[in-house]
Amino acid sequence: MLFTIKAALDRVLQAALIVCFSTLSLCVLWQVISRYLLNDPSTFTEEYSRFAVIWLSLLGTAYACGRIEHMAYTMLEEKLTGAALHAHMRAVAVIVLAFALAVLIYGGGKLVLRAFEVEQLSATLEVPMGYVYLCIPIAGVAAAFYQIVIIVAPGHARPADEVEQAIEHVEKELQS
Amino acid sequence: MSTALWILTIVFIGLLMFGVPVSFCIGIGTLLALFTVTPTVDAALIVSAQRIASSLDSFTLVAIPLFILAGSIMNTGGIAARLIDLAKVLVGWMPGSLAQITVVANALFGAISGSAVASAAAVGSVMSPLQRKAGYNMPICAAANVAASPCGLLIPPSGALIVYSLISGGTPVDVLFVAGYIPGILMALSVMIWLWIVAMRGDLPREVHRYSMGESMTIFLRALPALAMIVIVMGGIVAGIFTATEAAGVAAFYTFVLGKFFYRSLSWQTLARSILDASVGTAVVMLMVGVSMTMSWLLASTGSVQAIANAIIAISDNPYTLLLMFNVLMLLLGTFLDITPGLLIFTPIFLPVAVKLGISPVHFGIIIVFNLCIGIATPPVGSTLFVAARVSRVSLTELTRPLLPMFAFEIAALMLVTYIPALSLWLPEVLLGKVS
Repeated sequence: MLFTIKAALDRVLQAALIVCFSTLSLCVLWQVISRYLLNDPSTFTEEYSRFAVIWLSLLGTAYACGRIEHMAYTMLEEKLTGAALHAHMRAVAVIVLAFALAVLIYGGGKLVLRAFEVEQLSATLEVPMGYVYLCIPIAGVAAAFYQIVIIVAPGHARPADEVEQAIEHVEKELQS
Repeated sequence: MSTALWILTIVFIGLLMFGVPVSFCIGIGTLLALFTVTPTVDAALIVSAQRIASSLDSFTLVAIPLFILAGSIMNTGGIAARLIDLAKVLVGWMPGSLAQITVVANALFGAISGSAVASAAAVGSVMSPLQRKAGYNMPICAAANVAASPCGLLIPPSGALIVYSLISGGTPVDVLFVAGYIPGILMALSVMIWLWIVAMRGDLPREVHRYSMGESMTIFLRALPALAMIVIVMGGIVAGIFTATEAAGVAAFYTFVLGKFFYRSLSWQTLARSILDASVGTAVVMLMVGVSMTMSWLLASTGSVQAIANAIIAISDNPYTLLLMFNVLMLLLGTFLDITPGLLIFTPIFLPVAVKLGISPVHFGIIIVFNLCIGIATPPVGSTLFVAARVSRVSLTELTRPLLPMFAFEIAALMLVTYIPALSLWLPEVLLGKVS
């Protein structure tokens, strides 16, 4: 059950990240094209790309929590095995969960509500800033969920290993 | 030291040692320190959330995901092999040629892919079978791969320099990029000089590989599309055609077109995976930027930065002495800090001192990135070390000894870059007509 939800959440975040990233790239490209080829510099592109980066970064933060990709020093973890390792993973997950709950969900949630209340608008696109900040609590909920998965089933969580990934990638490259 | 600064330092180091991800260590340390400053708990929580988002609200930062994506796509479709061939033509005539090629290929591929680990993996796995077959001393070759892997991070386009631009309060990215060339090349040269000496001593084979004009031309043409990315990016920036961020957008689009329609090696599935990998890479850096900017804002607003700066200047106000102290400290801390956290944590503390002593922010940025580049290759912590050892099939212990003289030569290059500002500032002066 938990893992079905995790798989679904992964999918949703993946789709959102790809949309964010693609529109961001096209937007910056459009800024160059509109200035040189159309001689009519676009005004919305700069603000849109800035906001897209904020969404990309926050949703990506949550997604990276799910893949356990946030950079950490593993001196202690490497010395542990079995039950001690699981206890340690749970402890780290609880600490990250606390941050997600307090800052991203609570602090971010209040920030969104306040921005909508004062009807704060962005400078160029005039979108309510509440929508820009909305990615913070959303990322918070997703990140919190991923921590709960680790706490419930630490045996299934495998921290991403940059070295393994790089070597795997190169081997695949060399084969093709 | 103020209470806020104590809390921040202790919480940060404690959580870091325990193994909490670096960004959360900074975020939690800053939050707890904020409690002593803000009137209510609510205010601290809201400010923490808002600062993360508003720190990322910068058009300069938009360049980071785009360069990461371009690098991620460039890391597929056999680009590395083409650049390695080019390196063979460039330095195949040198004594110890197969080790020299490793260094040059790392500088080329590192600059394009933006990742020292990807570079060490790609170059090492192609070169080590050749080196083994030619009877090279494998620990020396693997050490050369480690020592050279970060060169490309200083050679533009450089994500580290974009992060520095932001955290230093807007040092222009174009100037930083151009300033990175000579120091980055010096870093590679320092390793190559040592390899030359080793080869002359008879510890590496001296037979050389020469290519005919025709062969060289073919290899160059094969590598041209990958090199063109650097030409477009840097040419466009230097000529003032577009900003660094726009250049990053063009680079991402160019690599996409190249992979999809020219090499036809990029499937939609590979593209999606590249985008997701780039998203994760972006998020890891950006979260760190967000929480660190909050931290540096806290440090500045509580007067802690000023207090630290005064304490440092009280030790010595001679810029040469202080730069030496700074280099020693950064090299030590760099052995276990990665580039991005190193930059984000130490720039806000040391840059004000440097500026007070008349050191240009551009020059200082190059010095700090150079230091951290050496640091990511040093034991005990360093992904490039593990990657290089694995792909060359040598043990970490075997690899460490031949690395030491290479570090000595890199540190000598660092000293040149530190004490001769022109090595960083001359090229931007000539090409851009400005140094700040």
